[in-house]
Amino acid sequence: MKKNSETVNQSRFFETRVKGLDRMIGHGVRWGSSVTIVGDGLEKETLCHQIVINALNNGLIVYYVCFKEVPEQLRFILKDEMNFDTTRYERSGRLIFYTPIEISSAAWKMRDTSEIIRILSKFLSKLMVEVTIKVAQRRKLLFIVDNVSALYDLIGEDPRWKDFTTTGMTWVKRIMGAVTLQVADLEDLEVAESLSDFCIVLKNIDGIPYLKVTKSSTFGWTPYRITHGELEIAEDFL
Amino acid sequence: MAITKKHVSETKVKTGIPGLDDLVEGGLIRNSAVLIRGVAGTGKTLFSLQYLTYGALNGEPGVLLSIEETKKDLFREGARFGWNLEKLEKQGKLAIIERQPHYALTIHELEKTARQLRAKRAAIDSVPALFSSYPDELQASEMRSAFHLLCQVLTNSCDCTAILITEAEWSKRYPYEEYVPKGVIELQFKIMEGTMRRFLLIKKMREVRHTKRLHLYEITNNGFTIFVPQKSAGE
Amino acid sequence: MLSKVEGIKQMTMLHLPFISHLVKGGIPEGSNILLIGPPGSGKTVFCEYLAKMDLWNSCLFVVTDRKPEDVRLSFQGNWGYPGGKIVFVDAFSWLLGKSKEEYHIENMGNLTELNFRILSAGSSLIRPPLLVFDAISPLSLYNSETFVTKFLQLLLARVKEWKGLGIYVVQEGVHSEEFYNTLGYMADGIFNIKMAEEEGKIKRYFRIRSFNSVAHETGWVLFSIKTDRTIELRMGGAD
Repeated sequence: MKKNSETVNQSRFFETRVKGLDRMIGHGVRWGSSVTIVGDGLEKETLCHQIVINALNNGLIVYYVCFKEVPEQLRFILKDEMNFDTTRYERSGRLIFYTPIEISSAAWKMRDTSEIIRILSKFLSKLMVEVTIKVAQRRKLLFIVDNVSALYDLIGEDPRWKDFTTTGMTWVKRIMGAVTLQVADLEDLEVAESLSDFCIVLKNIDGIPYLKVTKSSTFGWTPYRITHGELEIAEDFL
Repeated sequence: MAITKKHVSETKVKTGIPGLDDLVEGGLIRNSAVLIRGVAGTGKTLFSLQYLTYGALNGEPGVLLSIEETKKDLFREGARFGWNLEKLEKQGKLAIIERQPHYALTIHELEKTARQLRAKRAAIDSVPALFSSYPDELQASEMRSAFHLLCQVLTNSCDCTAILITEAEWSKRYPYEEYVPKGVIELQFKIMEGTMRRFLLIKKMREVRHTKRLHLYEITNNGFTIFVPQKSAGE
Repeated sequence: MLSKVEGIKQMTMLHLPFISHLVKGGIPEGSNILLIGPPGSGKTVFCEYLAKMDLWNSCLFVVTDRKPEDVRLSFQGNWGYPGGKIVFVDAFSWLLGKSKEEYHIENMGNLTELNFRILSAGSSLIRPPLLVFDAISPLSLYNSETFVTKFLQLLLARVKEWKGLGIYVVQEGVHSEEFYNTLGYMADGIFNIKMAEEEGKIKRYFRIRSFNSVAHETGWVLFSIKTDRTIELRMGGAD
């Protein structure tokens, strides 16, 4: 079904529109879900960007929260590797980049974790207000957290980590029409699983790249290819 | 002497298995015998059907000696993947023969049929089933020479490039199997963290530089397919 | 000359001129005959003489104790096959190395191969052919007698199918009694050749020891080999 980029996605599910992936997830991602892409290479970012581009092309509003790369880098990567120019979407307010804290900055690393959490909580509150307006307009939303590992490295040890993340997840669930897509390193799989309804895991086994959806009981490790910068599941091998 | 395109195609036989030819420098060596070994369910029969069907559709008639499966079963199997084997048989591009009362007669039937069809490809499904069906005629001590004769007849008198299907258990008992054929391809199952996957290994392929890795394959709607991971622009 | 005689089963009868006076009505097509005698008794000459006759469309000659070239030499280019041909299965040269014949075996211990080569050679011939197997005996040097008889079963059946004639040379005195008996049971007819010393000279005798469903003389007749390697079987007494 071809959709005008201005019309709202009426489906019950958020579709990644990555070849073969929605089938592995089972239709698509339920609205209100939180998903984490977990991997040990650059492919997890490629997949994340692919889903973002597909979402923008389908009329969603994307809130991209950066904890690893700064927006300039991301704009460049999207342009250079995926031939996607963010300008138009940013101007029309459909793609919004946020950098609540500069993880790479030494100054931030020196601050204590409770202060960082305080700042992040403030950011979350602001975001909630902004988003409420969009939700009232019945727009569908996609939140990107790129990436969780970087954030966890910084404040994961803090006792308030659990509360903070739970607050965020609960809030997203309450919005009727939003999905959170997070990116994490493979070594943080456990953390990722605690923060999501399910994970999309990318792993290289014996030289072949495989993908698995953790909640799926039907499909196991399935090989994928990257063709013209886009990830696609080898559907024959499902 | 410059190797022209025609020259190469004369010496290499395309298997018709997507992804496989690239692993063996273009295909199988003409008039060679290649062993396909695997446990039940790995797709060996399909492999041979695909090999012969591809040949039949590309100017190389083939003969299949099938011991355990009937023609009807095989036609049905081929239909699953969209191959009309019955039609190929009628057109004289494919012949499916069955076991004769004596081993010598079976080999003779193979030769006769191959010559009639001017076959260029042959497949035996399977060597264990064939040999063990002649317990009196072929004692354990004669297996080796019987196998040698089979390979020789297929590649010389029949002028074919042959696929010989065998089983892992049989190979353990009769290790001579590996010495005569030019190549040995193994099909295996592997369970990876709860997922069952199929892998192909080129154990041996004389005169050819081949990979030593396990290659993922699957039986898709198009038949036996080897997974080829393509490289992205950045890699 | 193959003359058709209407038998009860409408079978074609073969008339071999030099034996016809010993056999009434001819020999049925598809017959398998054992030729048994001691070494040097003339079995090979008998077979070659039979093969030279203008009776067959083709001849399948299996040699186990000499090279096919030697057989060709003895024929001296004298075939007499109208439109047919003679094909050799070389089961001898494997001992020396390579064979020049299209049909040959690599190892006499592999009877399956020999069987297969004979079948292969046979399918290239115009029917009905004469099958000459000279000789069976060397096979038992490399295979058990059980295997040799099993091997022969297939051959004998083939000859029947081809509706030709099969003649198999067997040395006397080298096999077990059981072997001779089993072979005799499998074959349709048994010819014997014996040698005797008389008045300081070696004389040869021939007889038809047995032949299924054929009326024949049973006595020994003088068996002479002429200088031109033709054979004469002279009845000494009854005709």
